[in-house]
Amino acid sequence: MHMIIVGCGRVGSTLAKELSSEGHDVVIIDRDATAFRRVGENFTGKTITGIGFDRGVLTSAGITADSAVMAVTSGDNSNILIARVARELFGVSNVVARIYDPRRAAIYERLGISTVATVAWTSNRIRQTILPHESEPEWSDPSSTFQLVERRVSAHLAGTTIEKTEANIVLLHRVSTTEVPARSTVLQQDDVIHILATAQEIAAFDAQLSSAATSHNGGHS
Amino acid sequence: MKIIIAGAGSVGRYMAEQLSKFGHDIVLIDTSAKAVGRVDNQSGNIVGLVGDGCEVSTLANAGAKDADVIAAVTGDDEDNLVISLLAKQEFGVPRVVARVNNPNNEWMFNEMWGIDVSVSTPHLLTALVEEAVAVGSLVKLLSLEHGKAGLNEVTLAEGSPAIGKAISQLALPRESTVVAVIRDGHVVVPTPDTVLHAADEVLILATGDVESELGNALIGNK
Amino acid sequence: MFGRKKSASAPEVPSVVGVNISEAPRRERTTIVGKVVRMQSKPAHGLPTMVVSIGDETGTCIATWTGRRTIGAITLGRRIAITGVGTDASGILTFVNPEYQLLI
Repeated sequence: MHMIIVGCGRVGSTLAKELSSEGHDVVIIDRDATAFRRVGENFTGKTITGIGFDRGVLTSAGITADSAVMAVTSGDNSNILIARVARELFGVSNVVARIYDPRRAAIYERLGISTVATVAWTSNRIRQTILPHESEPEWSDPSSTFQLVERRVSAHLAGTTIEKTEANIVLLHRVSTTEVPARSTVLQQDDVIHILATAQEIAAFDAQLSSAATSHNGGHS
Repeated sequence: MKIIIAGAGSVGRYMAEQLSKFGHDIVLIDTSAKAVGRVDNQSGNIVGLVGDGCEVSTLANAGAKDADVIAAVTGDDEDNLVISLLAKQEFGVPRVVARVNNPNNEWMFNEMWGIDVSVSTPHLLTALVEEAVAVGSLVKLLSLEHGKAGLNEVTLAEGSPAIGKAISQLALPRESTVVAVIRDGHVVVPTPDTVLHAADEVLILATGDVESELGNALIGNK
Repeated sequence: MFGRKKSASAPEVPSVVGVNISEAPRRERTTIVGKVVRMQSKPAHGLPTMVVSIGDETGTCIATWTGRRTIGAITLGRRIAITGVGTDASGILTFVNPEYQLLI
């Protein structure tokens, strides 16, 4: 996958190195060229010095609607700008913005932008959001029968009740609230849910999510 | 009117001081107490607030709920965009004015970020320089009403088809009106019978896309 | 072995309470419950904007979402609740990027 990371701090450089070594096509952008020392000499991705919400810079980074964009600069406002430009101008649906101030996160989630609060394991959290199907489950039981995984509701699945999905959705995060949802809750696009189920059941749910995977969620297309 | 100004740099402070003299109630916000402290509150209408305008709580404390206008004039475009979005979305402030620092960002300063009017100093300066030097060209000085109306200026060059004609005789497009003629340093209030001379600076207010028609009437075919 | 529990203890969805559109205050956080009566996609400055008209028995209001053309399951006839700060932007009660809840 084509991945664009804006911000070559600790989180950005960690993501860049990891994703690049996994074979993804990674471009990392930072205003300050000296920040690129963090990715080291063996980094096989591309580095671009520039402002991450600048249209020209993103174009030169090869951004397309199928790219994944991670806005992980040290500034909440920059990250929001990057996320909106990526989504709205370039039609990218796979966008994550890191937010330091959780109070601001709620407002941006209303714009449909996936946000990740800064925590000790931020780069893992961001990875899970960008590559949900290639990430380890958050938890498995000792017999490895049951897994706890996180998923983001697609436009396709929106409008379906939890009951109808037949999946054991144990937690629902929407805008600023996280709660144990009622089975009659109607799922909405961009809801973040946690499913506790067998790998098979999770795969069945994933099939429901991606039935129309080619349609971009609210993007510009 | 109740006006919130976010950014107490020289621009924000100047705005606060001027607007307060007209009797408006001003709240001036900045993260720096020093910057806020520098404002000259002679009128007594300025309240300083130390805080981050990008936070809903700060805007709430500043009285955004009742504000008539918010001006996001910090030196940081990202902050100005976020302040504007919050002001429009969370508080419904009727008029949001924002400053563009870097002209490359100007394309974002519109309703997509809750902004009603944006002001780009480099852009304005360029237009004013053009106005000063460009004789015989149409210069757009100012955009109004979300870009639906524009104030344009032409200094009539020697070969202009408008010279010697009365304003009523000019083939001006329907959606335009001559609002002033500046001649020898005086403003001539235009009437339909006002006859234009060479070197007259003609100011026209126009809605719609009428640049080429204005050009034809006042500059002639190149 | 234990039998699959059918979540008898899971909470019920609380019913959403809103104010009538005709009585909605301006510039205050408000919830409106109604039905989608019109959907428009209005590009602005080259970017998509979604404009949805929502009606209840007392009137109609508008919810605008910037930067998007569609939102999953927001379609004509859908019962929906929106929460946000309303203004009289275009002469009609308007909400920009409100929170929304799809109702059955």
